[in-house]
Amino acid sequence: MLQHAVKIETVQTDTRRLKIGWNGVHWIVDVVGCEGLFADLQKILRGWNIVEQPVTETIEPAMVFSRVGDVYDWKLPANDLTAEKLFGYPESTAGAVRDFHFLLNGWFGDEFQQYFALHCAAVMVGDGVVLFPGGHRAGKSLLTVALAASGHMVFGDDVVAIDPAGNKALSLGMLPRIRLPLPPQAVGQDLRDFLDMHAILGDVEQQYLDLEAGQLAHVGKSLPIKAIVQLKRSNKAGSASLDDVTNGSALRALICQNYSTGMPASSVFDHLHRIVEGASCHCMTYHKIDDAVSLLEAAFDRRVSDQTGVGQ
Amino acid sequence: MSDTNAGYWRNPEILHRELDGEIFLIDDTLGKIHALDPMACGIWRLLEQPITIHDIVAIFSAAFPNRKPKDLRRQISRFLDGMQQNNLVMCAT
Repeated sequence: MLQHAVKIETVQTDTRRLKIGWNGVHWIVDVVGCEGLFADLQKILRGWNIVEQPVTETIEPAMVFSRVGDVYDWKLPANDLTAEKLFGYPESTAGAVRDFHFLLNGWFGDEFQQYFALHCAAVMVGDGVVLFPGGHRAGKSLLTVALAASGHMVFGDDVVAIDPAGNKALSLGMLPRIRLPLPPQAVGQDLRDFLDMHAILGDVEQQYLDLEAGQLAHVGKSLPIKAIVQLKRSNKAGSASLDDVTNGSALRALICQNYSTGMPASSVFDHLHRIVEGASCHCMTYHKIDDAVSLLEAAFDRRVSDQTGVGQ
Repeated sequence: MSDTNAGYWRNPEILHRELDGEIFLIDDTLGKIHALDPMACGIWRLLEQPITIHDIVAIFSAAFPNRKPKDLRRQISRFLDGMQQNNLVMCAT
């Protein structure tokens, strides 16, 4: 009765398949002929359920990576998106991983529409999460890593999900990626040493940092948002300052960084409004990263503010 | 280019929220939220009743006497064109 049996054929190629899942939903990625990339894609994820699967024709992958000459190529067969159409062909493994990272963020937003996504960094400082809405080149990734180096748990350096139930930030469990070169004179030697020690995937433009358990929240970990800090990085030397801003200003900053599509706009607005109402809202101007970290700890980490007498 | 004698008014389907002087326009049909800058906030307030570009320019010229009316007209026209493309305002000649 062979015709009634479910027949699954393993396709013998140089393709390897990853099934990447969270909360019962998964994403299938095929990697054709690039062993190094196959390993590196997995390195940036924390808390995800990742398994290698046999390649079969009955399941179509969501994303396919391949190597073409000196560059990588990828495509999303279901919506006809390709590397060439989006960012161009990645020239390095780190660039290919960055594209994967970007598209996995998008998949998460599409698949888990009970959350909405913000282009923000988010770090647990003290007993809650501080959100850093992303301004252009404001330094949120580097600040995020500096806070990790100082003992705080990162929830995201680029994208964070918002769980409207409880106004919580939810980690996507992805390693931070800083842009290179580092801003001159703004980064102290201790942080440079930390970056060197934790560098895993990089090229001349970017560097992923391999944070340890306790430094990066696994996917799905969520905590209430207690503050929103807009960042202004100054090229001129000077001390850091943290000023109060109106809730309206903070709401504007969050709305400008919202890219959810699955939830009605009025619901997103109401949720963001509630988050702003429940948080303290600030703008931090800084030049040196270490000054910024000290200022944030004094303001939001009770252990530090009790010692310094500075706090909210 | 916008007709300076055309009447403009707010699309009644757009939700309008205000917080600390910031105005946000919410379009559930297109799934967009717009945060207005200070000049846009001023124009939006004027659009509560139908109004022409000519009248908006006159009001802004009185409020900002150092600005050339020609520049204001260009800026306001461009803004209203964008508002119209985004389904935020209605227009009738």
